[in-house]
Amino acid sequence: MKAVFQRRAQKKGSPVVGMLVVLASICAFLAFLALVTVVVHFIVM
Amino acid sequence: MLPRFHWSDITNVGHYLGVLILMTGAAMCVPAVIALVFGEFRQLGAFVAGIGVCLTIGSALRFFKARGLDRRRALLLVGFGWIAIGIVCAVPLLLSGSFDSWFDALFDSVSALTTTGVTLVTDVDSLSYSQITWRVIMSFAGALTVVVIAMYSGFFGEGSRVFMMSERRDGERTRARISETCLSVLRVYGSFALVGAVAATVICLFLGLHPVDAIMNGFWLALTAVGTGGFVPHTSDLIYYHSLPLQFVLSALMIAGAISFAVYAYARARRFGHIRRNAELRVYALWIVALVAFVTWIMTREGFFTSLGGLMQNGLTTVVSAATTCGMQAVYPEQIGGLITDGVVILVIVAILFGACAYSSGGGIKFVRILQVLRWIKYSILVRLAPDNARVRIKYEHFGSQSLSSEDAMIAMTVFILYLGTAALGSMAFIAFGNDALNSVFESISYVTNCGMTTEITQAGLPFGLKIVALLLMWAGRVEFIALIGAIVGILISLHPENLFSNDRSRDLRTLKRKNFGGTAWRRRKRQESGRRGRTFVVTGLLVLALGCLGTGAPAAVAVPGGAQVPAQDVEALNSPSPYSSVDVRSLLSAGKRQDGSDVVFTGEAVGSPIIADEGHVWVNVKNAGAMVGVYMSTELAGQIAHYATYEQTGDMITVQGIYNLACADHNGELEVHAEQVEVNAQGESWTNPVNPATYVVGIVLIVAGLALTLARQSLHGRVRFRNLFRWERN
Repeated sequence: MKAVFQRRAQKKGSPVVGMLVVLASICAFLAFLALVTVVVHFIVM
Repeated sequence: MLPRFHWSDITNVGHYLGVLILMTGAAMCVPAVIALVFGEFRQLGAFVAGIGVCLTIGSALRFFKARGLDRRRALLLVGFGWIAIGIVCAVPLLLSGSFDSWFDALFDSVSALTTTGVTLVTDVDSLSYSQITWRVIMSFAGALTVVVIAMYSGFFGEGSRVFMMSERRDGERTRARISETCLSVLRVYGSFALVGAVAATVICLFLGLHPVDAIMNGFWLALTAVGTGGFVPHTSDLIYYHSLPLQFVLSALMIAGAISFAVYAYARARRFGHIRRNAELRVYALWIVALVAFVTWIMTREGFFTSLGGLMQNGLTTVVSAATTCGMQAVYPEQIGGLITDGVVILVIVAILFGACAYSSGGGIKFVRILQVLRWIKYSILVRLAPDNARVRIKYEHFGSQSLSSEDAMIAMTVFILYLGTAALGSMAFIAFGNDALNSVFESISYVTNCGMTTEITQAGLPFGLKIVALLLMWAGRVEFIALIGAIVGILISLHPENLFSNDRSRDLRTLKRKNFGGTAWRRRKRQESGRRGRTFVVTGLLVLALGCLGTGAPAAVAVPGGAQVPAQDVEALNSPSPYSSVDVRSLLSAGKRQDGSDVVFTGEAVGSPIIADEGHVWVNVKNAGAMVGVYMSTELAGQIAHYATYEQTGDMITVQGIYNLACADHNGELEVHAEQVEVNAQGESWTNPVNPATYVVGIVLIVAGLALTLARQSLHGRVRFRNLFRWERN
């Protein structure tokens, strides 16, 4: 059990990658919000 | 059985409070170094005195023995620690010369620590680098503390415990110690702040700020955005920068600070499946999208902000700031009270109230609780519809599959009701001072959720009674009521000397003995204890009632007549078709549609530095009577202005004549003036804040005293070693 867990732990890789993925997701979400603003604006206009 | 604290509990908590105060003193070294580097010697003296106070008090408190923090003692520490730390943090603020009273300094420090971000300083633009840095550090530290307490203690969320796990070398996973949790939180938020600071600095350089100014502003804005503190070192908040890209960068940091820390813990372990399936995160994202869409719809239909830039600045970034409870404003408080429709204001209020995700630095009710309440409603309906022998279980995904228990739902609903009730009481207090009802509700909810967005009420200046109310709202909201109420009730019950100084175990044994022997003596004793409890409750109730009367009834005598509205003498000038002259900037901001597109003339002080707008034009922020407005002018006109107000420098007094725009379509819907003529009336001057040698003397004496106390404490524990002087005892 311990050996399996150690192997699984070694597969994790750098935590920086995970943080970069979260940061990219947040930026993508903001871009989506901007897109929503544009779409709603043009629908109302 | 109600919690009672004994002297041993208080001394134990005192020890850990001493550790926190010592850490506060260490944190004060950063602004002290900045004061030294930039030659702010008066501020340096204030920080030296502050460090001395922290060192002395912290070292003295550490003489109390540490016996570990159980749940009751942690309740006491969490409940009162914010105010105790706020008092020591206020020392450098009070000595800086920016405040008239100690209470205002305490208000500012508590506002920063609770990540509310409201300041009572009228001249924020003239604060020194060190003072602004100290406010930002307090805000960031407060944010980290909230996340650590939430992750470690379970005070802020019982049903969805996310334990920080650490992995030993042999592969065993154990619950992380609090120091490891603190470092992990600091690492994550610090890295976001660093990336954000670099981005914000680059943008500030493009805006034409001096390189040192750009670096400092970038650092301040990034730290305060990630911590959802929302403190911006300018009177007109984010509008000062006139930059939509900067607002987007800060919006990204606000969202980063408002989502659950557990997201980062799983992201670092690259377990993205849990994050994708997380119900709270999905609902929160959907909620923000719906808010942005709805606000954009309303604003476009009302025709206030016709440009996309205007909708993004006044709609999108405002909604993100409200939903994350950061509170950075890209709209003038006067616009919230006047221009923006009540429907949008109510949406923003709801966004602030619902708040951010659990296990984040954001305030508000928290989305996981909203989810739990909604799921409990679903459970209640399903139970009634299901067959008698059916078993209904509600499961949801929150970093693992969670089953909703009645205890989780009860806590969620309790906090929900406490938030609403406290906000209602606060609103009544603001209304009692003669303020507009909707603005009062906005302010009250903003304070209790530690958002810090303000309307004209706070901008116009708070009376003393409202300052007390606002401070209590911020404090209660930050510790989410239960910890505070539990700590206060426990302290009041324990005030009887017999309760405070008796030994727990001997008292329990005596009680057991009496019960076992029974009889008249035991019954008499029970009656006496009930009587004492009853009297304690009566006294507590009277105290609460008295505070309530003080907060709502008495201030009516000093209510601001007509609230924060345009003064009567200016109404006539506003309605006159002739050029609008000699009014202060606050009246200009409150002018609303009456002066949209009209010629205006006003006088004020040039502040900060010119901000590059486009080719051949700059923004000059002009301030008068505690309010600031952006003036769009050509570089030729701006060239007449030689001095801008900063720390120890007054700006040129200028008279501006131009066109007033309520929501300029060319400039992201900003309220601003297009200058046609600028005249410099008086030149600005530099001056030096007088150094108070007493602060240095007192500070050095206290530092020596604190070090002596620490050495004395160490010698009591055996051989004195330098590396163990400030070692934190681990239990």
